Amino acid sequence: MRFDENAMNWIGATVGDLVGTVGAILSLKDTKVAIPFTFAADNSSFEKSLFVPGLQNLQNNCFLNVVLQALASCFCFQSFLHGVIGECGSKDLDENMPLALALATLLEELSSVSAERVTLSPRKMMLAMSNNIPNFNLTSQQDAAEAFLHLLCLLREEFGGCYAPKMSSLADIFASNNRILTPIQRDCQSEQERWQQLFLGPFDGILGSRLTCQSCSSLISINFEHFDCLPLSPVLSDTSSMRVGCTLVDCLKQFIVAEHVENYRCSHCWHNAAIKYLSIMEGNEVELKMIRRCSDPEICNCRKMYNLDKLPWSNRFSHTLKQLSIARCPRILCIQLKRVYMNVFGELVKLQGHISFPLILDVLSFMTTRLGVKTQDIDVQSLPLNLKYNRRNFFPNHSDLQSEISTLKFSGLYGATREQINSDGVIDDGFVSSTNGQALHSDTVFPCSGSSESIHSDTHMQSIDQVDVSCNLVPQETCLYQLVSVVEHFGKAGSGHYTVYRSVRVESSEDVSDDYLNQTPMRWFCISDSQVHAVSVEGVLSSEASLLFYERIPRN
Amino acid sequence: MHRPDRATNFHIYFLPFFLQSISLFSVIALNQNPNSFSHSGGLSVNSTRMRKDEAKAPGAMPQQQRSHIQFFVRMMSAGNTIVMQAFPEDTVKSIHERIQSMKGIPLFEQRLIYRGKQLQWEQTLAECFIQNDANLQLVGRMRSTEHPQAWQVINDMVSLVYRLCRGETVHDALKTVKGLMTSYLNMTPRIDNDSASGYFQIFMSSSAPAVLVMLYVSPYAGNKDCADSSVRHFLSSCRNILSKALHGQCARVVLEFCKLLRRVGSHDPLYLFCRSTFGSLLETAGVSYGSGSDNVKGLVLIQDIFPFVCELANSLLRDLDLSIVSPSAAGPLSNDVGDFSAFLLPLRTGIKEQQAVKDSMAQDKHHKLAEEIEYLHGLYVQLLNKIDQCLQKMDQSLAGQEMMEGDNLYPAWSHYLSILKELYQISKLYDGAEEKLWGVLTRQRSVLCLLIVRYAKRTDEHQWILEHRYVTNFESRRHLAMMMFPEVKEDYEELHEMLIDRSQLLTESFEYIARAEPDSLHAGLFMEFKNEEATGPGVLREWFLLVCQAIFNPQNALFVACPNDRRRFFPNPASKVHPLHLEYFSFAGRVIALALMHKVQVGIAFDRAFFLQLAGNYIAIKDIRDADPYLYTSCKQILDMDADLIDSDALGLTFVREVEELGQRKVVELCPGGKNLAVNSKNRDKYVDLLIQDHFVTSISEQVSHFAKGFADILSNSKLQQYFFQSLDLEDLDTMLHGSVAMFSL
Repeated sequence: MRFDENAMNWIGATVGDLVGTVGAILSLKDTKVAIPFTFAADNSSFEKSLFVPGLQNLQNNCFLNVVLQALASCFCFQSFLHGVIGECGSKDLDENMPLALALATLLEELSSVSAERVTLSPRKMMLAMSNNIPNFNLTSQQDAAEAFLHLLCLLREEFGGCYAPKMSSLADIFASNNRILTPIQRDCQSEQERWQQLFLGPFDGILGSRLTCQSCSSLISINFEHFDCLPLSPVLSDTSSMRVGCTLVDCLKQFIVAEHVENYRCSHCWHNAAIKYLSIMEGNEVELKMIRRCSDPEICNCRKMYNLDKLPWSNRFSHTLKQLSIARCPRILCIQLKRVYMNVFGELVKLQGHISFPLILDVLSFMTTRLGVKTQDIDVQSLPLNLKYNRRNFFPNHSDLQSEISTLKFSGLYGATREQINSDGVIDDGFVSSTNGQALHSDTVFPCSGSSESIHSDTHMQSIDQVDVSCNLVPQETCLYQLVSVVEHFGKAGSGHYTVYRSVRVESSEDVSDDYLNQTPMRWFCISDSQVHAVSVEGVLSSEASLLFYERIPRN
Repeated sequence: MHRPDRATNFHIYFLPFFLQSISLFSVIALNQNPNSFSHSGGLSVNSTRMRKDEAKAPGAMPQQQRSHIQFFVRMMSAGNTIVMQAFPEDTVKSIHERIQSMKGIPLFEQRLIYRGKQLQWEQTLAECFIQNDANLQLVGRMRSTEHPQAWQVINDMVSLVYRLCRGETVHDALKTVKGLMTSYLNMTPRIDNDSASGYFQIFMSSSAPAVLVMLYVSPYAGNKDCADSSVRHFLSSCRNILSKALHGQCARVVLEFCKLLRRVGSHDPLYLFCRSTFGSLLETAGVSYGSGSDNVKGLVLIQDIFPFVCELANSLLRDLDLSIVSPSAAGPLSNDVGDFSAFLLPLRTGIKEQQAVKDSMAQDKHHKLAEEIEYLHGLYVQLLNKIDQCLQKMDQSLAGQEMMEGDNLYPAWSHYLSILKELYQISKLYDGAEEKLWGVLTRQRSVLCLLIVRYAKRTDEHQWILEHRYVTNFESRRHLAMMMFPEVKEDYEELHEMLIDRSQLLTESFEYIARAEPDSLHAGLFMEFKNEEATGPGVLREWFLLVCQAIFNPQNALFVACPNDRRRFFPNPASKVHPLHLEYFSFAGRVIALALMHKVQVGIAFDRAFFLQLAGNYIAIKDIRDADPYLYTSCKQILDMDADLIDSDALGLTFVREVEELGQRKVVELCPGGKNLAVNSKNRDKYVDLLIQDHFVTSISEQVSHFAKGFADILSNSKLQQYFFQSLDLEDLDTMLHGSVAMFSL
């Protein structure tokens, strides 16, 4: 019955294709997913005897048990599973999606709260899982974060195999993906949206990476990559111990700080140096023009010119900065704290210590909404970039955008060549001249807020109309996450035990649908395989976390 | 129809990957300089391409080629990023190998993650859709355990103790903690192997000792008692329940407890109990004598034992000081003395081993235990001086009153003997230290003898005292000798019961004593004559006298009396006329031992030669003076005769001996070819020696060995038979067997 309801919801979503409709349906679904307990909240003697089911430890599988318990506390993950299974309900589920079916059944059982102690067996799920992973042995000692990634990877393989596109013609599919600046059709967008929903699910975060060269003041590349689990490093006081008072926000700040990358070849710098070199050496004018017009890296042959054989070059002349940021916030944010490091004796050691984490996490400050390079030092060059962008933002028009895109393409398509140092004086003089004469290019990063669910094509060339619409969007003030699960590891890097703290929503009898999150108390349990007992929030916050699961707080 | 759908699905399956992998305005570098590559494949491919380029005509359009890519790898803990170059056809394993050579991280511990997927080793970079400027994440592993149930139990215990430390009230906490600890110990493998080591490593890795000590110092009510009981439960279980093979593993856990509790206080009762347990576990645990870097699995380091020796030594010195000032003070605790011995044993063993390899090792390695060696010598000097003062003080307190009165027992004196034993063991390690010790003992001889008589116990070992017997006297030697016999019981149920007919005294006594199991005789004898009502010590004493008279009666051909002293006996060489004579010698040995054990004087004495044989010593010519005065005189004359006279073969002696046995004379060669070997001035010493050995040793060797065997059956430890006779003089044995000196002189 629940599957049919979910299928009906999704059909309604595809027909409507409105943000409001999707939001309304999501709110309705969240209400239904809540656990239907109706006893009074003040009945403390009855509440104390509530338990969630434990998982049996068959053979060294506490690493998998903690992942399953943690996912059972992520409510939108279960609705995602039910939605996918409902959409493929017409096919043979046991044959095509054994892992998804076993996982959905197990998570549904793990979400039930009862007065008796129950122990479930993950055997069926482990069998479905072990048939598809050749290198990951579920019966030996393993890492919980590794099991989590493998689980998501297997689910996507199953979902990809059962995906049925609605358009039966290949020509339509190809036409919809042309890189022509034409308005995107609604049908094509819904197909893309539907696929992304099936494939990525609630773990749909995107990391943005900006690579800039401060020597030639050029933006080398912008990358967008999907992530399931955000690996953060603890802040160290020295090479072998954690800083006292380290917090999760400190780790996030360290993650997104701009980092100087050594030994990177900036082809733009090379081309500038080549132009200067030929100018100083009074080289062939034809070659000089050829280098200036070089725009295709695939067939760039500048390195082989006769006069450039003696060009002295070293990668140390490039000052490259790389900065990460969260381009889109996932519905479930999984954070892994990288506690394992290699010490000077060549042994893998685990970083012990408590990293405090909040119940409510705001990741707005780590998203791609600001301009310029965030470094611990004040970067003077970022100021002109900001000014130029602010000036351009006031007068968006077609011709300027086209010119900007063309310029950006040109400035990023140079390759580097060999490195030799013959004359330092000549190079220094050349670089000073090059830097002074080079015009600064503007930054053309578009504000891509993860909360704009109507815009899904982050990695595509966007149309002019879409750009106008997105520039006018008012950025949201906060991006809040609620803590739902904590995975803790005891022992050393080579051998230890995993336990999990997970939260369960227990609704009170006064169910107010408008702000039910404020009314519903979150009850926490500490689960060590089949041992389950209730803990306080302070007990959860004082644990030494290895994996953290945050769920996005929906906005009404 | 089905096939086109599958093809469509396959195509759609990869389409989003392609879309996702497009990097907006991404940079593709072309023809990187091959000199900067560390990958041999890259060099090879690039060299091939350069040759092709050179072969082409100038101005021709160059052929398009695949280019290498540049990507970033974010490292494990510090989070710094490195740049790597590779070709799309390279495998992920090659990237792992380069990271290993760069950073030293083993291959199997690396995890490379890109766009939410963990890269598999056999894939190529192209299959993983790695483009230029891709961001890869390198993550380590925190593995789970091989013993999940043990981890669960320990985690439950640690969590419960944490809640108690935070002040929560848990119902029946002590019982639960003890139950969890018992469950954990019951899971331990019974054979010492890697699995058992892993089990105890769980206890250490989960910080269980630290958590329990934290509970012990917790300010909340009831927590201290709970922790105290739990730790004592663990320590008792380590000592009693677990097998001795696991004591090495237990010792390391107990050592951790000791280190933590020492901060609570050196006089804390739980710390003292913990230290005692550690000392007792060291008897079977292996001890490593290496430095800290040689942390052998399952062994305790000497460096860890050393602080305990210092602690206990200081405690002993302080208590000895108190006993000097005030004789009625308690003195050193017996626990302290016992622990001191337990910790000193591995330390001395380590130092001895160091000295053994001192010549073959480098000089710097010898300094591993240099601090311990230096400290131990200083400690020896201090303790010896302190004991010397204690003994002087003891002598003074005894001077004002009678020596043998029993009213002057002071509790501190009982431990002096144990401390002296430890000092003796230490003195063996250092040159000149033994002379100091025996000098002190010689000066305080009377006090030492009194200590031996009053405080020497059966459970101790006192063989060290008899290495220099001049510091002892008859009373102390007798006391030490009697310590080798089992104690006579008072309970009639355990006594060996005998009912003897007087007319068949020897035969029936032989049946009761010789046929009995040695263990049944250890409790003592209960004697009763047939048709008589009398029982008790008097009857037993009468029986001993009668049996010894029968055994040593010359008419029974077992023993022969000395011609000049009819009370001294030695085995009869002709006793073989009786077919059971060897069994009767065993029986005789048992009877003599039982008489000594019951402190009954039986009125006989041993000949010196017989006594020396029982002690395993060599027989010289002066020792046969009483047994055979005529042979003694003859041998003396042979040795004292003029050389020229004996060389002229006036006596006509050869290396033979005439034996008269049952009425016929028989010639026995003393050595091969003795008949034709004449005695002269050069070989007469050898002749006399061989004559004595044949006459007094060889002819009765079987009888002596059986007597010794019977005697040893009654001792607590049968290996101490020779030592028993070595520890006594012949005069001592005369007094114990025959009676008082006054009677002897008559």
